[in-house]
Amino acid sequence: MTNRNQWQACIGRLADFLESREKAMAICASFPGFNAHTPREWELMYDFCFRGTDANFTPPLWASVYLGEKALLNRTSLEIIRFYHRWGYAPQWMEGNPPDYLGEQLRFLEYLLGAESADRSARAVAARDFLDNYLLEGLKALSQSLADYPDVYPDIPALFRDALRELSFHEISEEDLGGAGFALKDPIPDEEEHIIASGGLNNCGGICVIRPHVQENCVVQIESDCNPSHAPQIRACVRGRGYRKTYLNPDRLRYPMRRLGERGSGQFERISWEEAVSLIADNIQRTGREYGPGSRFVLYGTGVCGIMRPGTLMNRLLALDGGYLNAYNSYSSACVTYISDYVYGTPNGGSSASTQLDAKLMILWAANTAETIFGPERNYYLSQLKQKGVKIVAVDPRLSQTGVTYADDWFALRPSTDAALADAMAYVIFEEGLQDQHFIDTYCIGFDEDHMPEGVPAGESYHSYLFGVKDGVRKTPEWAEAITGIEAHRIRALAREYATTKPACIEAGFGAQRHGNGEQSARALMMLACLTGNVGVSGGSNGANGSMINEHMPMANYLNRTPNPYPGKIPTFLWTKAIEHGTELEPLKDGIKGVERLDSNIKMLFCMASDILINQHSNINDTIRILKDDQKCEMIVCSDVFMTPSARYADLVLPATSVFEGENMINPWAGSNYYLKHNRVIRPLFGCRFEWDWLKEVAEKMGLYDEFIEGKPEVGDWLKANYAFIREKEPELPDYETFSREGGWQFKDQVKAVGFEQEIKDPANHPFPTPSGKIEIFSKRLYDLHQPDMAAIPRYMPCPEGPEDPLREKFPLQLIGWHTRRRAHSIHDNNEWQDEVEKPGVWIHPDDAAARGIRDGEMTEVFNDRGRIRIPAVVTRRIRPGVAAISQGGWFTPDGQGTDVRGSINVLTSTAYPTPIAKGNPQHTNLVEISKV
Amino acid sequence: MATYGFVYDQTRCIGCNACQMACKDGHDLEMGLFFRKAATLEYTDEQGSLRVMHYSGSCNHCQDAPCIAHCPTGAMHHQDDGTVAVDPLKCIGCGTCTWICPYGAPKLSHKTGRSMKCDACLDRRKEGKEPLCVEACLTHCLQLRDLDAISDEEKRRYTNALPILPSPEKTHPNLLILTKKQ
Repeated sequence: MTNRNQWQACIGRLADFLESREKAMAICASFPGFNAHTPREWELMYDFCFRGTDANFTPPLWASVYLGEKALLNRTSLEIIRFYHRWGYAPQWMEGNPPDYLGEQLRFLEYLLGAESADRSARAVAARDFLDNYLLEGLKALSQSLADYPDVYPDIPALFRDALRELSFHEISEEDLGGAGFALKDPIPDEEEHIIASGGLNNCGGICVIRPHVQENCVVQIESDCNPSHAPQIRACVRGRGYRKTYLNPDRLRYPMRRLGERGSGQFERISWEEAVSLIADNIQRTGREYGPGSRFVLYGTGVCGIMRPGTLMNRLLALDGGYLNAYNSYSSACVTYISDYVYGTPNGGSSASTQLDAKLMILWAANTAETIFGPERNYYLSQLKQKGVKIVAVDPRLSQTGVTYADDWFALRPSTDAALADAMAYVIFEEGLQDQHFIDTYCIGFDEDHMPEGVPAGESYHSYLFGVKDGVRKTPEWAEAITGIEAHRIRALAREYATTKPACIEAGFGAQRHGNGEQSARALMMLACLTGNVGVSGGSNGANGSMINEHMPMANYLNRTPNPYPGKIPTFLWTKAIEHGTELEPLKDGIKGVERLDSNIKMLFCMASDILINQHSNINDTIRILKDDQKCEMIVCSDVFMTPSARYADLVLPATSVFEGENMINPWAGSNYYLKHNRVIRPLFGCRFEWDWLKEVAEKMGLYDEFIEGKPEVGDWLKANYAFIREKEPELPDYETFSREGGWQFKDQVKAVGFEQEIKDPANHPFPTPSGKIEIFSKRLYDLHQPDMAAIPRYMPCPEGPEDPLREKFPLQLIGWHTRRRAHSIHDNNEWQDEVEKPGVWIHPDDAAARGIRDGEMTEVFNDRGRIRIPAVVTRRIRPGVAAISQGGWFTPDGQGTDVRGSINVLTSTAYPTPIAKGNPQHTNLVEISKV
Repeated sequence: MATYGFVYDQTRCIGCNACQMACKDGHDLEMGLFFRKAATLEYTDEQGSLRVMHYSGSCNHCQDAPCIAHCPTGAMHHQDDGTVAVDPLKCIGCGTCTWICPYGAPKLSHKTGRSMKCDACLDRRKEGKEPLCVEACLTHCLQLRDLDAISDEEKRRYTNALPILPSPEKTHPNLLILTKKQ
């Protein structure tokens, strides 16, 4: 054998090794230590090292990554693809790996060296350049990384170490070229850089225009809306702008995997899609047979909010197979949505963002618009309101980014005391006769004794409560000062200003209702709006769910109409309880609906593009305790783009496509004055598939294919058919091709919807859909339940782990969460550019910090009986004393002792006290202590 | 000839960092490297009250730019439009500009070993586009304008002195900030 052939063979062998497990096994068999392990062990080890099946090990395999960036398919990848093209090499995308994958680089070099052609000297130079600039760096990085991997079999790093030595000490010359017996191919022309219009897809307040610049499947830049004809423009915030570092993160899940060790261990074995499909079909059928359809549950949270929504599609399949346990409520707005039904008869009372421009006073109550975004255009309007000189007030224990930007005055109340503040404001308004009596008399029941439903004894009205008719306590500003911590004179002034400025808007964020008494906080803001006649008026407010706005037709999968044959429903927050004690849950106490008793505990769970399984549900350590026992919930299936904390606890992990790799359609959280169309920007990575595509196969396995696809086999068929359905009602929409090409449509007809406008303008013909037809400040429905913790009126009710809980002796600080601008829930936590925007930190007031000897930036531990978080302190006067705050969504990252080191607040939140009426999530009501490490 | 500089309406800035991210994404900047960075800064004013402001800062394209004065090779220079840019062919990576600039605007790239900085997206402007940060702002609070074309009356509404910034007397930054009334 000549030197030349040896040399080329070394490269070819390495390329084979990285190309596939099958080819690699033949090479492994020649290793000196091969017999120390079984072939299956070698296969598992290969996948741990090169196919991402060990969640604790992600070596750099792509040039884009080892040359500096935590991103795939960037400009470096493009550079390499263009290099290939110049020499006529078309990348083969080895098992879906991006073309700058080391295996592909080796294959290219093998081709470049082996081909026969005249121009040898230029080729030798090119090969040297390629080796020096790209390949050697990669082999170095990979060898290093493999050497540091504690479990690796030594022959694997040795293979790369030896190859590295061989390649580094050899100067490529013309002698090395040729001999493979094929001719060099013609150069391949490069695709031009172009923009493919698309949009934000995840569960984010800022569903924005995303315009990726693409070339040869590489995403080189994100642009957003700069279309001058758009009014307002749908500009991306910091999250959308950083999409490349999230969705093209090299930590992407690559192939279907089945769990190896105990749940949470992070080690998996790679399986084929066929095996995965069979496993799912078998388990769906088995659990249905053994435990009944109600044993199967799909977690509702999702990072894919388009109309083709993975969880909903899973539900569709289960519905065709006898049904599933359904859920109501959300983690976002459980209390306000639920209680709106009692007050207004519907939660659907949001107003368009543009109505805020009509306000003469704006109270941002637990609303952090600058970070949640809540519609990309909302800050545009708020900043105009500010510019008009309208007074803006923030009510929040924390001076959020929103407060910093807009607020002229800041009311830093104690968390969970919102209703007490509102009670005192109402007291002042009544005492001084500032209420809108006409509004109260015309539209409401329950404010005063003259407007009460039949069959209720005297003294039960809200007015009677305020003036202490039964308990002898007047709910004065002084009374509220003791509870809320806000000075009485400021409460008085705020009440007067609110009652005398018309229209005045209380922008009710969801923060106040994510408390142990969240229903009362939400109702309190509804009550204030009614008391002052601000309901149904542009520039006013009503306190109902502000995201449900009647503008244009909301985007939804209208053609997915398969009913669920199983009638049982649980409040979504109670799913862990339904794993352990499902059959013991009761309608009144636990809020189950549709059935008196559930047939079964949850036995099979689906976590579809969701991080609820571990990260976003309360009390992570308790969830882990429940899930670790695989006799309780027997099968957990997770489909996602990353090894999230949730995916780690799944039995079956399936790699999904990202927003760049498939199609969908969406409208924003709040309102529907525009739609966005997601287009396929690049080809799917690795073995990733959109959920619909494998669900079809599961359906086929179960004999339900035709019912499942209903004549529409592809995602695009569903999008097109739904679009046609919507377009019938919305004639302004262009044809589907235009809509697709433009990446969506912003309506020329920008509807300015005002919540409950009709009901107020024309009450005779538009009664509220409540039993009385009026706004029920007093709810007879709640009164008749005779439950001491379910108040009939919007009064302040102390709650467990609130400021009055004796547990404060042990855990004196009230810990709240917030939605940070750098994440959308837990999405983007692994985006390193977002770490530059904001790092994990616990906010603590200088007084509380000093008392604990903590200085800004020092490491602390935040803890209670449920867990511990190690996190740096952010000592700031932007939070009230006695309160601490950690932004929600950090990925649970336990150290050896189980202490989280990434600021995952749900280590400290509780599942013990769902809110009394809605059974919602009190994730901002937590008592903790903080100590210096 | 013109004198381009950023006009920044701080009263509308929500501190969201979209400008910073658009800049990083568009220029493919490595970790820790920024041409523009936004931050929320907390301080106590003379009355002892809490003050918090968002600030989005980049190169201010100073008239008396010390980075130009001290550059040993002439790599750092004023362009015809008044903006300050670095010529990578002349830069020797000595780093003088990175420490002489009171705003910390020029940066040394770990990749190229040369100075890099904001040139107000010259390439984009040649194509008739706005700089990335300007186009990214959710509340439209950033603009790149020819300051020579702004009337003195309008200029009086702005400042280039903030308590968190070095004195503008040092370098005469081409930066106009509209601040909140305190």
